[in-house]
Formats: sequence, C-alpha cells, structure tokens
Amino acid sequence: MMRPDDPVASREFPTWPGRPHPGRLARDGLVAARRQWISTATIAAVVAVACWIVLATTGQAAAAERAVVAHIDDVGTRLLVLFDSSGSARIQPASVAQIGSLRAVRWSFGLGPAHDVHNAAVPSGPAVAARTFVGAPGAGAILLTAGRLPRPGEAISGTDASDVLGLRDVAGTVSDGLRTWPVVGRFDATGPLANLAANVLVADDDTVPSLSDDVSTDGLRFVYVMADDVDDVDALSTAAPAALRAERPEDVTLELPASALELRSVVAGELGRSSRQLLLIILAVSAALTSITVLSSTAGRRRDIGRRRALGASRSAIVGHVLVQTSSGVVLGVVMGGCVSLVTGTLTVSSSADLAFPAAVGILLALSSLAGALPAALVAAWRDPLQVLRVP
Amino acid sequence: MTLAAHDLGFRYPHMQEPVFEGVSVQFEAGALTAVTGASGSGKSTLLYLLGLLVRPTHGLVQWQGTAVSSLGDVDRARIRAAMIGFVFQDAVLDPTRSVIDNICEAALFAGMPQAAAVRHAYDLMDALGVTLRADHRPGEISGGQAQRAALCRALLTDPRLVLGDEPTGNLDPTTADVVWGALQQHARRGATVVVATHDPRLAQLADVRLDLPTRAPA
Repeated sequence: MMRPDDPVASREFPTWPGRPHPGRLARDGLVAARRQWISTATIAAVVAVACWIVLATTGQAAAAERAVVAHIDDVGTRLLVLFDSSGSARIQPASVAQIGSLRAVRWSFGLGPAHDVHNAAVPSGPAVAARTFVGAPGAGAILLTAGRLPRPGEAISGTDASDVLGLRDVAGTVSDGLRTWPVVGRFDATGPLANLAANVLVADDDTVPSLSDDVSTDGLRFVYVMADDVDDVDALSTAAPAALRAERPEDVTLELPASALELRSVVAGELGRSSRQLLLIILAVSAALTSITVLSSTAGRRRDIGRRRALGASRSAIVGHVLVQTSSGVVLGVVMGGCVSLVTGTLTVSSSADLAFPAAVGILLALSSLAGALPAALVAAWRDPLQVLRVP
Repeated sequence: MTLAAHDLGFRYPHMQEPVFEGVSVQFEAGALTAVTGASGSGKSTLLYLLGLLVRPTHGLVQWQGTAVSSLGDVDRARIRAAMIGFVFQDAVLDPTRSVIDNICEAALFAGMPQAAAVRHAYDLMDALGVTLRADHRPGEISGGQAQRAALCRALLTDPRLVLGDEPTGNLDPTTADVVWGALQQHARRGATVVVATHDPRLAQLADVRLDLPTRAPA
C-alpha cells in the first residue's frame, strides 16, 4: 500500500457507515470497565454495600411485615360471615353452593341451628352443641385429626367436644334423646373457626334425620365465606349477600372482619412506611456516590473521551459508553451484595417467591445508580474536545 | 473532495475577542496544505472547526457545497468517523490498550469490520515501521513510535480528509520526515490533508501554505 505513484484520479475512497455497531460499542464499554478497574470496583463496592444494607434492614422489615400480616390473616381478615340474626331468615342450603361458585371465593360452608347432644352411651352425661353443616370448609380452617369425613347422616366431633363427651376413640354415637348419629371422625378448628372445636358437626342429608327437622325448611344460621385474597373482601361483601337465597334476607347480617382489616392495614402501613423511607435514603446515597465516582472517573479521562469524540463518537455514544461501563460495576455490585447477604444470613432463598424481593432491590439499585451516573455521563459528553485535545 | 471555509470565525464563550474571523479558504483534494502562523493565531482552532469537532461562531464549513458545520452532533460525528482522520501534537493513545488496539479504535466508530481493520492496521504499521510494537502498550514505546501509531489510527479508515495539529511538533527530524512523508503520500492518493505546523522546513514542503495572521492584542 501507499505506493507513491498512485494516480490521484483513480483514487476511490471506501465508504463507511460512520455508525458504530451497538454490540461492538457495548463490548468496548465492558473492556473499558475492565481496564479502568479502580472506578468499576469502587462502583461495585458502593452498590454491594447498599444492596447488603437494604437486604439486612428493609429486607428484614419486609419479612417481619409479612409475618405479622400473616398472623393477622390467621384471625380472619378474609372471612365473611352471613348470620341469621333473627332465626327466621330461613337461609336456604343451596346458597352455600351458589356463593361458592363466585369468583374469588376459596371455600364456603353453612351451619344450621345448634341443638344439644350427648354421648349416646352416657345418656346423663354432659351435652355439647351440634350443628348440621352444608358444604366443606377448606384446608387450614378445619383439620381432620382422626377418622374420616362424614357421609350424610354421620357426624364428626371437635376436639373440645370429644373431651366433653368422653369420646376418646373416634368411634361413638351422639344423641339428642330422640335420634342418634354415628361419629366417624375428630377435627380441630383453627383461626377464626376455632370455636367450632366445641361442636359436633352433622353432615346434612334430606334422606336421613338431621339435627333440625330439615335445614331446607328450617334454614341455615351461618354461612362462612373465605375470600382468596384480602383485596377481594370488599367485592365479596356485595356479591355474597346478593347470591344468598333466604325467605327474609333483610334479617341476614353480614359480618366483615373490619377491625382485623384495619389492624392489618395499620401494621402493614407503619412497617412499610419506615422500610420505604430507609430504602429511598439508601437508593439516594448509592446514586450520589455512584455519580461522584463516575464524575471523577470521567474527569480523569477527559483526553480519552476527547479522542473518542475526534474519532467519531457522538455525544450519545459517549453517554452510552459511560453508562455501559458503569452498569458493569453496578451489576457486579448487586451480585456481590446478594452473595454477601446470603453468606451473612440476612437473605434466605428457599423458593422462587423469596427471590422477588432481592431481585426488586437489585433492579432498583441498578436503576438508581445508573440515574446517578447519567449527569456525569452528560457532562463528559458535552465537554469541549478542543480544550482537552490541543496542547497549549 | 473540496473543503472550504467561508467567512469563518470563532470566539470562546468566555473571551471577548475572537480567535480569528473572516477566514475564507478552499482546500483542494490531492494537496497537502500547511497552516502556519504564530502561537495564538488559531491554527488548531481552524483544524478543529474543519474537523467538525466544534461549531464556528461565524461563517461555515462546506464539503462539496454542503454546509456540514451546521449539521447536528450525530451527523457531524458520522462524518468524522467515516471520512476524517485526526493527528494531534501528542499521540493521545489509550495507555491501557495495545498499539494495535489503539489503531483499530478508529474502526469502531466508522463501522469498519474488525477483521479488515486489523489487516489494514498491520499494512499501515509496516509502512510506518511500527509493526514490532503492535502488542506493546503506549507507555512501552517511544514518542516517535507513538506518533506513528497515531498516524496509523488516523489513516486506518482511509479518510478523505486528514487533519494534523502539529503532528511533528514533538518529533526528531527523522521521525518528523517519516510522518510528513506519509501525510504527503496520503494527499497524493487524492485526500485533502491540512496540517498546522511551526516547522518552516516542513511547511516549505507543503503543496499549499496558509499563513494565519497574528491578531493585534486588544
């Protein structure tokens, strides 16, 4: 090449696009991040410490908030109770299935009026309340601890009722003095239904004798409705009464877990507010430190950036270069922070759901750090190349 | 490619007096133009204006009749990347990269394929005698070798316009002749080459000489 005898007239200059390939530009930024490792390591350290602090403080607070809210939910923030307050509303058993078919209803079941029953083997023994039930409470509300679920005309006894009746074995019979029902299982009730443990529940059936002469004519006294989520309670407070079939619906009272919901809201709000404030402070500090680091790094690279401008980098390419370089430090920092949190036990990951919070923290830290780096990148891109490239 | 300045003037925002004003000149393809003048006459500023690194505060720069100095940043950057090569008084090499990587950096912004860039870089290094230093860092080579590497970088994309801001200012006469010769050769191949220099001997060798007047102090 460069033969001195090349005729000028035959000269053909190549035509380049003058536009860098984004992939090569990104790679160039990563190479720069590796070569200017002090700046990259500083950013990574800032982000790692911020990440660890967030997971060690806000993360723990969020976990505590979840635990407290779960405890509050245990006492029935999602349970609605439709109650025949007069005893004459005559809630039809078909209402249970009707309500159970509503969207956002996890389960529903109904209870008839209470009648005294005693152990048929001990006619003079103490009595407990027995109720006909329709439908099936879901898992977690009533737990069968022995025996099996009752078929129509059979009964199960709560743990407290079993103690009162002396039903040490699952097998037994209860009687109201006129009729008898075989007891085929024992159950324990928890949370908002804990009081049912003192009852005997008789499966309803039209063809066998039930506690009341016929719940289809006598009606149900209670219909319990469990919502899928706390947020669904409000909608169900309208939909469930509308789906109810009763002769005198005006006598049916809806009991909402208002106080529990209020407590839940207060606890979640208080714990959440302090966590959010702390998170915002840490994000702001992290962004400011990243900004200072990038600013000092690019100030020390003025000639490097000026050379890039002379070689054809646009201002946006310089901004992109600085942000790619910064983001490699940020990603490294988030990974380091997560690993340190795992090692120090401030972060436990036992399921994919547990990853949501640290992932969100990582993304927030990355975005805030890049936002912090942006002003420094803009300053670098707008610096006058003439002043940094010329030799005085 | 005809490069022309029309009534060109430039003044720094913080200065009351312009660096120069009213400069109208045409640079022909195939010729090496030496820009001379006393310190402060605006030689470097003129080169940066012609190279579209800064905008003139008055007048315009035209290429083939197009007012390129008034284009936006992205378009001016594209023109610089694809068609202009810069050589500065000091090499301005990236100290963290090897010589070959420094030279090939020009290809990144031009959009020139990497393989072609490496091949062409070695051709240029052969011609300028720095091939043996291809894998060295700038801190491991002499100033003359660094400047020749910088010239390779400027010529890598085979640019239509090469601008040199005192490219021989820090060099011994022998190396200065090598650099000057390479610039002349590139001009002979049809490119427009404009070089600011203080060296009267080299200025005598230029095809055209533009002498910027010294401004009287205000």
